[in-house]
Formats: sequence, C-alpha cells, structure tokens
Amino acid sequence: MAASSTVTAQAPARGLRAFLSKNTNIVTFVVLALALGALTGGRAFGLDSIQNLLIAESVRAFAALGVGMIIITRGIDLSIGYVVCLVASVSASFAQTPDYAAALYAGKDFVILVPIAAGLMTGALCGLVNGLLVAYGKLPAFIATLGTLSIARGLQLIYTKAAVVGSLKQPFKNISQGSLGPVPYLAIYVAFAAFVVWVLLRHTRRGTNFYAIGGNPVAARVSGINVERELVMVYLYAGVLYGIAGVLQAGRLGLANALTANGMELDAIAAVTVGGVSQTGGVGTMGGMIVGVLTLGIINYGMTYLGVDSYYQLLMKGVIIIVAVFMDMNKNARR
Amino acid sequence: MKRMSILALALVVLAAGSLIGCQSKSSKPVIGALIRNLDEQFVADYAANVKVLAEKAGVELKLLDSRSDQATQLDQLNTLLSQGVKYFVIVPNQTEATEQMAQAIAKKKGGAAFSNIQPSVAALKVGKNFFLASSPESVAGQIQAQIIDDYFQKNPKKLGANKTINALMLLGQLGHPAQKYRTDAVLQGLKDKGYTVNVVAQDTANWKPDEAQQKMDAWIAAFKGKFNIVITNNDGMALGAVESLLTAKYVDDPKDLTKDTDGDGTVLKVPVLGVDATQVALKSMSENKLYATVLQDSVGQSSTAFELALAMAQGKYKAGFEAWGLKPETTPGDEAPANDAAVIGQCYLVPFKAVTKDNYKEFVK
Amino acid sequence: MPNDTASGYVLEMLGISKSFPGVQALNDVTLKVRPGTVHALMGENGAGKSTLMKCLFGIYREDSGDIVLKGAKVKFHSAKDALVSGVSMIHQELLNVPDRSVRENVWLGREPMRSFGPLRFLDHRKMHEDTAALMKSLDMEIDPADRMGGLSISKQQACEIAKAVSYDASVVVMDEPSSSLTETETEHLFRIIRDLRSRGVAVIYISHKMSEIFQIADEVSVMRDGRMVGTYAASELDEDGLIRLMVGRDTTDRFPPVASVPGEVRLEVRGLTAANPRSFRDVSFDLRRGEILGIGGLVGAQRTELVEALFGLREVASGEILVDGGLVRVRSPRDAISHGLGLITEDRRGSGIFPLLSVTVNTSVASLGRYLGKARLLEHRRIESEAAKLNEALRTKTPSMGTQIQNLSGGNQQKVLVSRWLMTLPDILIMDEPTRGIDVGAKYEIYTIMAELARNGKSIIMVSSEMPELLGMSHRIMVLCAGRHTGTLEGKQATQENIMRLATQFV
Repeated sequence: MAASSTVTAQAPARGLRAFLSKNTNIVTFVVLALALGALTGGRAFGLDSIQNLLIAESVRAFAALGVGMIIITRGIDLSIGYVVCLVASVSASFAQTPDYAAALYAGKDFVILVPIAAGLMTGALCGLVNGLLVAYGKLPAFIATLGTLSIARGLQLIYTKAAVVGSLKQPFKNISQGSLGPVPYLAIYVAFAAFVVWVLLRHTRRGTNFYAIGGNPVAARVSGINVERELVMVYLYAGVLYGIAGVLQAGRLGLANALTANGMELDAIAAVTVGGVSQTGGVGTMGGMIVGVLTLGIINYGMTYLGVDSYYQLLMKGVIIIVAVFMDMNKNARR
Repeated sequence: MKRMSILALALVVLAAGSLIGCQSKSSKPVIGALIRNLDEQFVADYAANVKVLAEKAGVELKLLDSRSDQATQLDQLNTLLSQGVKYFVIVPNQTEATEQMAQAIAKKKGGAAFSNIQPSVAALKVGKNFFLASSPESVAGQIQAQIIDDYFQKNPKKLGANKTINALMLLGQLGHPAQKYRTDAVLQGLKDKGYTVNVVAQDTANWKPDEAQQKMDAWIAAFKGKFNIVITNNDGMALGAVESLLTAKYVDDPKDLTKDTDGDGTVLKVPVLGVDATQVALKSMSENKLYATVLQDSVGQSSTAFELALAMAQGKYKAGFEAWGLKPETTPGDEAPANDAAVIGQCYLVPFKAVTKDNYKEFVK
Repeated sequence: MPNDTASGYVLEMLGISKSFPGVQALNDVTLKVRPGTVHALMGENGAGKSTLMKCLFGIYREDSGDIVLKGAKVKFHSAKDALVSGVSMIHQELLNVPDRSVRENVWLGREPMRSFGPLRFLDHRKMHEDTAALMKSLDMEIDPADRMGGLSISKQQACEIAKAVSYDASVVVMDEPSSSLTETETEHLFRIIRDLRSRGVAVIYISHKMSEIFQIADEVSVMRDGRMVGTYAASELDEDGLIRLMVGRDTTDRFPPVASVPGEVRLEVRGLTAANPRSFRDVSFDLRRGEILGIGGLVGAQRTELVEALFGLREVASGEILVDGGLVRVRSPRDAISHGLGLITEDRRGSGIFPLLSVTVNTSVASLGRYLGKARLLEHRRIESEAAKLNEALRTKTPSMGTQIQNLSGGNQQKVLVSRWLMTLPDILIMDEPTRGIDVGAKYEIYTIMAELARNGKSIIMVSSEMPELLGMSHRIMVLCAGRHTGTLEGKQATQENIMRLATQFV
C-alpha cells in the first residue's frame, strides 16, 4: 500500500501567506509594533524601551503560561490575581530587613531561600486546591477558582493585617531587579519557564493529555487518560508558575500588599486568548501564549509611550483584544 | 473578513495615535504626572488641577493612571524616563515603593514631588531633588477624631458611660493605604483624647455608596440604639450611610426628616463623618444630613508638587524654594518622612482642613 | 397513483452546480418533484443531498442552475423566505424554542396582534384557537398551551410539520425525520406524511433507512458524488438495486467473508451485574481468539452499558472478568487497556474523536506510554510513522497526518479510531455500533478490517443494531433483552427471527 494512495499528500498552502493566516496572533503583534514604530518614528524601540517592555510583561508571562495550560484543558482560573498577591505577601514577609520594626517577623533574618521556597509552596498549594476542587470535587472551574480567589484574598489580609509588607532585603530584590548585561534577569526566567512549558506541552505525554482532555474529556477518559490526575497536575503546575510570579513581583516592587497583582487574571486570560489559546479547550501553544503577552504588552507600553489618556487606553485595549481574538477565532471553529 | 479585521486593527491603532494629537517637538519643558488611580475623587481632583496648571505654565504634561497597581506605575515611570522625561509629580500607590522610583529617576538626574501618600525617608534621601508635597493620610483620621471630640464635648448626653464611643465603621478597600492610615489614626486619636472606643461593627464598603448603604441597612437592624457615631473613610460611603439612616427613619423626628430637634447639627440620630469634602457631601451638610467631613486639599497638594517639578524643570529650584506659598519645614515633626532632620528641607506639608457646619460654605463651588 | 394525476411539477431544480474550493459538490443536478407525492432523496454521506437542499433554501448560492417553484423562477435568501413561499424544512435536529409554548412556536415571528390604541399586543386567544384548529385538522393531539420542550421528540416534530402546514406549504423537506423516533412514533409520522400527500403537498424525504423508503416513497431520486444518478418509481426498485445505484457497484457481497476460526477462550465474563439496578444483571459469556462476537438487542437492552462496564466506564456491583484465565479488576479504562482491551464507543463525536487535534494525535493518544524516549520525552518521529502506517493499512483518507480529524468524513474518522486501538496492541477490541453514520462504501471497508483483525487472532465484540450486520459479521450472536442475556445464537440458528424472539423475550 503506497502512502500516496491513502494518506494523500494534498499540497498544503505554502509560503508567507499561509503562515500568516495560520498565525494571526503574530500578525496582530507585528501590525501593532509597526504602527507604534511609525507613530513614534522608531523612537519607541530603543534598547531601554525594549528592556522596559520585557520587565513589565515578565511577571504577567508566568501567570499567562499557567492559565494558558489550564485553558487548554478546558478550564479557567480566576484566582490568579489574589493567589499571586498572597504569594507575594508570604514571600515578602520572609525577606524583610531584620531591623525593620514593622516587619512581620521583626528581628528575624531568613536566608534568601526561605522567601523563595515559601512563595513557591504557597502558589503550589493554591494550585493544588484549585485542581482538587475541579478534578475530584467536580466543581466548575469558574466557581472553584472564584472561591479560591476569595480565600486567597482573605488569607492575604489576615496574614498581613492589611498592611504593606515592605522594606525587603536588597539580595531578594536583586533576584528580580538585576540584569545580565543588557538582559534583565526577569526575561531570562521567563525564557526558561517558557522553554519548560514548551517541552511539557509539545514533548511529554502529559502535555498531549492536556490537549486531549481539553479537546474531548469523555474521549480522553475512554482513551485511558487519568483525567482527574492530569487536571490536578495542570492546576498544580499553574500554581507553581503563579508562585514564581508572586515571588518576582514582590522582589520587583520591593513590597507586597493587598493591591499587588489585582486583576492579573484578566490580563493573563486576555493575553493567552489573543495568543490563540481557545476558550473551548484543546487549542494553544506556548509560542502563542508568549506572543499574546507581548501583544498586550505592546498595547500597554505603546499607549503609555504615546501618552494616550488613561480612560481611552482601557477602551482601546478592549477593542484591540476583541478584534485580535475575532481574527484568530475562525481557524479553530468546531465543525 | 480577515482583511477587514486587520484593517480595523490598523484603524484602532491610528485612532489611538490621533488621540495624542501632534506630538510637539518644541522645547517646552516636559513634566510627567504618575497618578495612582483616577477613580478616587481626591486623586481625580488632583490630576485635574495638574492639567490646568500645566496648561497655564505652557508645560507639556504626560499624565498616566496606574489604576492602583504599583507594578503598572513602575512600568509607566520607566517608559517616561526612556522618553527623556525627567521631572515628575507622583501620587504613589505605596510609601514602600517610593524609594525605588526615586532611584530610577535619580539615575537620569531628574527629580520628583510626591503627594497624597508620603514618600519614605529613604526615598527623599536618594537626592535633594525629591520632595514631600502632601498631608499624610493619618492627618485626615486625626482631624476626624478632633471633630468627634468637639461633637461629644457639645453633646455629652450622646456619649456612652465612661466616655464610651460606640462606633460603626465603614472602611475603604481593605489594605488600601488611605483605608489603613485613616482608620488607624481616627481610632488612635480618640484614644489619645481619653475616649473608650467600642467598634460595634466594621466592614469594608470598597469606597462605594451602594455597598455602604447595604451594610448600614443590616447594621441598623442589628444594632439599633447601640451605636452613637458612624465613621467612614470617605464621603461616598458616608453618604451611603446617611441614605440608609434616612430610609430607616433613624432620625431625630421620624415625621419630619428635615428637623434637627436635638440641635446637634444633624437630623440623624447619630453623626456621620466622611473624608474628601466632595461637592455632594457639602450639599448633604447644608441639609443637616452629613455631619462633617475632612478636606484633603487636592488643589494645595497638586499646586505645591507641580510648582516644585516646574522649578526643577526650569532650573529655578534652590534650597528653601517657596511653592504655592509654602516654605519647606524646618524642624522635624512626629511623622515620617518629615521627622528626619536630613530631609526636612524637602518636606512641604499642605494642611488638611476640618469641614464642619461653621466653614463648609467656603468650599462650595 | 399520484404520479398519474400530476401533469406538472411543483418544484424543479434544474442543472444546479455548486463548487467549493477543491470540491465539485454538485454537478449539473436536476431534481423534479410532483405535487402530492413523497419523493425520497437517497445517496451516501457526501453524495450532495444536503448541499442541494442548502441551495434550495438559500443557505448556499448555487454557481449555476435554476430553481422553479410552481412554474415561476425563485431565489430564496433564507429559510424564512422559503417558508413564506410554501417551502419548508423539517430538520433532523429540531430547531424550536423549547421553553415556549406550542402555539408561540407555531406562530413565531408572525404572531397575531391586537391593537389597543397606538399599542399593539400579542393576541394570545387567537393564537391559541388557530393552533388548536390547525392541530385538529391534522389529527394531532397536542395542546397548544404545552411547553414545547416538554413534548416527546415525535410530537415536537409534528408541531414543526403543523407549522409548515400553517404556512400553506406546497413542498416539505424532511431530513432524516425518523432518526430519533421509536417505531410507533415513526408509524404516526408516516400517517401525517400520507395525510400531507393527500392534501397535495410534495414531501421530499431524506433518509438512510431502506425499509422506510419502500414503505412511504412514491419516487426515489438517487445522488452519487455530486451528480444525480436518476429518478425512479419506488415500485421499480428493490433494496439491493437501490444500494447498487447509491454505491455505484454491485453489492451482492455486502459483507466480506469472515474466514477466521475461533481458538482458545481469551475473555470470560461471569455473572456480571451493574451497580445501577436498572441496567444489566447476571450476564455471562466468553470470547475466543479470532472470534467476532455480535451483541444484539433492542434499544434499552443495555448492550452499550455492558461493554462500557467491561471497559471500566461503568460501575459493576458483582461478577467476574477473566482475561486469558486470570481474574482481573477493571475499574477504569486504564485498567482495561492494560489488560489488552480496546473500546470504540458508539458516539464517535461525543466520546471518540478529539475534533481539533491532528490525525496523528487522535491515533496515538491511547498508546503514548510506549513511545517515551530519553527523559520520558515523546518520540514524535516513531509516533508519527507508526500512526501513519496504521492509517495507511486501514486506507484512511486524509490530506495529511497533521490534519484536524474533524475535517475527515465519518468513515475515515472511524478508521482513525480503529487505528487508535490497534496502536494499543489490544487482544480484544470492543466495537459499539462500528458503522453507525458511515456511508455504505466505508462500511464495507470497516467490515474488511474487522475480518482481517479476527484472522490475525484478535477477538472482537461488536454491538450492533443492524440485523444484517450482526448476521453477516458474527461467529456467534449474543442477545440481550432488558439487561439480561437471553441467549446466544450460532450457525444455522442465527436468523433474524430467532434474534427478534430473544430480543423481545421480556417485552
């Protein structure tokens, strides 16, 4: 049986055009970048501008990678903002300078590993709770994570007594604020995390399982996939990524309080959706998620650079998100 | 369809571009204004005045709203710095973030004046070009305490046994600096004046009148007769509480809601206090509903900060500079950062004002 | 016969052509329908029947050709447009508003109004009375005030037909109307159709069920590969002749020979009883190497429930499952797969395919554990070549292995699913309604694959509702009735009559 007679090689559309129509998210990004370049005569893309863009978007990128994987499994996570906030607060509380009188653990000097580990564990724990509620509790992800959102917020306020957790040690801040030559550390961390997510989604059995569960959960079960376990894992992974985001956010700002990262879930969800991760599940790539984050980043950055009035910024951002998703939608319609 | 979408996208971008108008290439001085959150009345008034001042002074103003997110504010600062903006008026999100912002500005040899939320001592120590142009949040609470003290001096019968104040407290968004400092200061202030403060109930109403009204409805039902004052963190919530009390007829004379029969200055059974002195609040005071509020002087703070930034931009600033008729402090006070001799010359304290029956008419526009 | 009385045609679709990028969907198709007849439109899936109807209703715009209604050229722009002109469509999936009443559904979009000064209100009374009169004239016992969603599927369908009549329809198109009806309900539907015919309405009847065609149709038009093969009087045709026309080749051999000889027992089931008391109980049987065991029964016989329980998808209260003589516990599909079982479910879309994922992933998803290389990363190259090899062997037609499976036809999707389970190297393959929704040509290919697998020593359990399929493909036929095993038929005993007898033992 010749391959040609059965699995017929129908000439796939080739060239730039085909690539672009498949990757509208990249088109959107390039159009926006070019538009910004044109409007500012290229001034918007100096080295420090690009550094700023990378720094500004990196924390969101972790959240996006996490929620992007969750959305691939047909889930959603609304708890991101407050989980990151809780993580940042917990992490920061172990990184305060010991001579700071208002520190949560005044007089105690923890090694730098403690705030990092505490943050990651807090994030992982929140993710685990989300995962257990969704997978074994059979709660709709929307509701389960809405619950953890409120719990995380409550815990943050109880833990910090609503105070700002500030005066963080310089070595802790350096983790976020430093740079390797011209490349900010934050960008390096994101690159590393993105690589890991790429390997996970593209090259592991679990990644394929995520796509299968999002594509058809019943068929996934019939195919022998342990749907519950995989769902717990995806929320757990996301939790770890939020953990990283929280630790880095605390370090970057040198503080954490009840307002840190508020609303980050919406930015992250919007970013991955713009990047081509479909809310219907089973569709999306690491590259798309990162492109989505950068797209939203360039919108934020561009409008700040151009000095667009804040109220108009929100409006524009909304319109661009809708148009971008609309362009992307057609290619993955379910038939 | 796709082509149309791309077109639409391009149009949106161009529209965004046109909104900023023609970017002037003139050598006008440029000042950046980093504004915490335009949803807050005080901050919005502050920003509006900065715009007016910039127009008058012929300054190019870049005003950005961080929507209460310190990370956003930091990104906005970096963007403006990379555009070459050097002098700023800043309404920060948190005291703790001011040092980092000051360092970033100092790297570009710029300067900034911080309003509303005070910068840390360390932020002012970054350089002589960094200023406090504010009245600390806690002062609003202290003034509320003073007004309450006056009220009970005049109406001792309203006080509980052993000088007990039974308070209902409506708080702003939890963890928000204005919520925290105002609340802490009013409670501390009353204690300092010798009162026993019994907080009958307290909860957040997220700055909002409707949430405040809901909370108050429930509290009136639960604690009728068990409280003698309602303290709130802003006028919005205060007005929500007033509305609730009126609806429940928790007033001096249920038959006539406009009669202040006990002569305590409000038709309500208990006084309600706000902060901000918004125009609606003043109207309510004129009707003997809201008892009193506190003016955080947005015009004073913004003018002081702007004049400092402008002086720096024009190279006219020198130590002891007089901004909006204010001289910098000379002797360290109690509160940071104006308690540190090293930076005292960078602190401009704009007074808060109690707004009561006696003086509210001065503020009506 | 109505044929004699009709001098002209009520509807003529003349020389309709329609192409989509890369496909000539309709090629010079002509369909002429007489008033007062039931005109069956037949053809395999993809023959062009639905495309033709979509052209009629203006959902697609034909590239060339004319549509003539009652002698006048027409061009509809929407289903509503057609409805007003007296051409209506009863869809396979009912398109009504379930939470509104019958009368509101019937008069949707043209509700009778009552004026009150400048204001206009719905005239509920008139709506009710008109609906009641309509139902009475059609001999339908439906209360106009009932909630649409509360009615049985058959009654909902009747309402759609009533609605069509209320528009004074001269042509009614029915797309697989009996697909979700019981036999009695189908009978009732036929009564309504005959009533319509007697009123001079032309009914275009699309169905795959041969028996129905010969019961109800006056004329039959057959389509194949986007062309009209011809129009025949139903009395001229028999079942085999019709299939021949549809498939375009002789199908005297509708089933390939099943040449394998069953060997030793691979699977033994003893006293299996479902946890759900209304499901199956005390079912015992065995399955041999190289054997195809058919499971027959009526709807509600719990056949699907039984095989899903074997596969760990449903809870079992008691009973034993032995694989190769060893007792096994199957509590999840993973357990089942590890014991060498595979299951192709009856609901291909619902629990089979991953529509947006590639053919490769759809093929390999259940066997990825065998393709882990260094650091437990997937060996994509081996996976792709293995998946391609399996699909080539089954002659799956797909543009490429990377194509989303939703773009394949039903038959090819089914082949991918077979590939999926072959890739797990199963000993026992359970196929629940393996040819449901697949056209005749592809069916034969699936049968060939099954016979081939049996010859290679695989054991197959085939659940089927199609009598000829059970008889043509099985070594033995096990019959269930109301959750109980009522008998197993073999050799000469395996006849349609015997199966029916066992299947209705408790009914």
